[in-house]
Amino acid sequence: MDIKFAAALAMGIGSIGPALGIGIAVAKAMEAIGRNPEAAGPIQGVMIVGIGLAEAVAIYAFVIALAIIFT
Amino acid sequence: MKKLRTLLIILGVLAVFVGLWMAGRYLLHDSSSLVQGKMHIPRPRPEPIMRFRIGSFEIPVLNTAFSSLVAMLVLVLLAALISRGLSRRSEEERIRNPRGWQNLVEWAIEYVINLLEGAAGKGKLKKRPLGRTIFPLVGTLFVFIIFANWFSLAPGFSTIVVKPPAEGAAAAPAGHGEAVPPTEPAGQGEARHERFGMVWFFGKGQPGEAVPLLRAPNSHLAVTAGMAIVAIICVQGLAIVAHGPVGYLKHLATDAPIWMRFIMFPIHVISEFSRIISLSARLFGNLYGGDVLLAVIFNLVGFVLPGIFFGIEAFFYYIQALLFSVLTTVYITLAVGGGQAEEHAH
Repeated sequence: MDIKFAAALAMGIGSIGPALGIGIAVAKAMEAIGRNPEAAGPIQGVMIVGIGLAEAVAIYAFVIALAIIFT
Repeated sequence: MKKLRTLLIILGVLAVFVGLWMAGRYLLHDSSSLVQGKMHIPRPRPEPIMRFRIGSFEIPVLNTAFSSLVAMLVLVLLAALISRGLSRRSEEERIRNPRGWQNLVEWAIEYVINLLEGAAGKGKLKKRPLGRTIFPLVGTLFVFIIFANWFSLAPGFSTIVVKPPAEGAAAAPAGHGEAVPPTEPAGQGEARHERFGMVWFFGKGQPGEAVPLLRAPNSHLAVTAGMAIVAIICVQGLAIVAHGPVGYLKHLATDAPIWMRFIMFPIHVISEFSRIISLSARLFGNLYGGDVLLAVIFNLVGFVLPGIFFGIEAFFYYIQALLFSVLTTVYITLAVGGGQAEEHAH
């Protein structure tokens, strides 16, 4: 039981950073699109790549949580 | 009128899918009620569904490997059928008047090419546009990943269960008489089936023992790691092609002062190869997490709610396929283009 709690903690704390990062990235991208709506396409593409890079950290936390639960 | 008909057709197909799926879940999983499901929550390690025996080796066939074979087979069959239909018409007619499946395939190919060219920007390799050069590799990765991902949302995935033979009771074809006697637990009638490989379970399967026959191919770390290793090896290979071996080493060592280069070089080598981990773990984590999420939602409410989550997962799976191919393209562009910027600077 306590081991599962550790996994939950790893996932919960580990997803704070990526959440903030993704939020900031999307906010800035929206700001940019608002200023220059014609550049929406390229901005979206770059934004998705950036989100993916930030999201990888949360995925690492997820993998660690899995490793805690299943070993 | 036509719009209404299209809508009705889409709704009908959806209803058939959902109905089939519900029926499958109801029949196969011994659920006590229609509303609440009892779904096997997947583990990170895929389950073997068959065991082959060659000499003293026992080769387990994992359900992810099986379903990725099925996905590949479907893709190849589709491609063969569509291209056979195409070659029946003359080229001029095909260009002037595309019809049927040709439109779909052209749209998909165009989409992927635009994606890669957008990501590669103005990068060039040997004076050819980079987006076109790497299209065969990265486009194939994209098509396989997105097809395998969406295919894993089809009815039947992780709902059809089989009971695999126990370890040591390898599947021996009926002709071969040299089957090792299975470790027979006394008093169990199933032991005689285990000699012949696998037993299909219809009806009352025990979720603890039965494993799904099909499972999302990319929810196996080995599958995603294989693709990531291929992608990163191609990144390094293209960098060597673009800069030459010496230029490639210089590119890794950067332009820092000479004593700094000794520190930068190992760091850059490690960072190149850590991309394998980040690419593969991202795809695996999303796919496996999606599988677990769907199973958990199904165990909570088995009726309408999973449908919504299927939609969300379909979107996420698309994003993941996009990310894998776009990131590979970005890595290639960085590795190939870095040297050319230097060349301009010199």
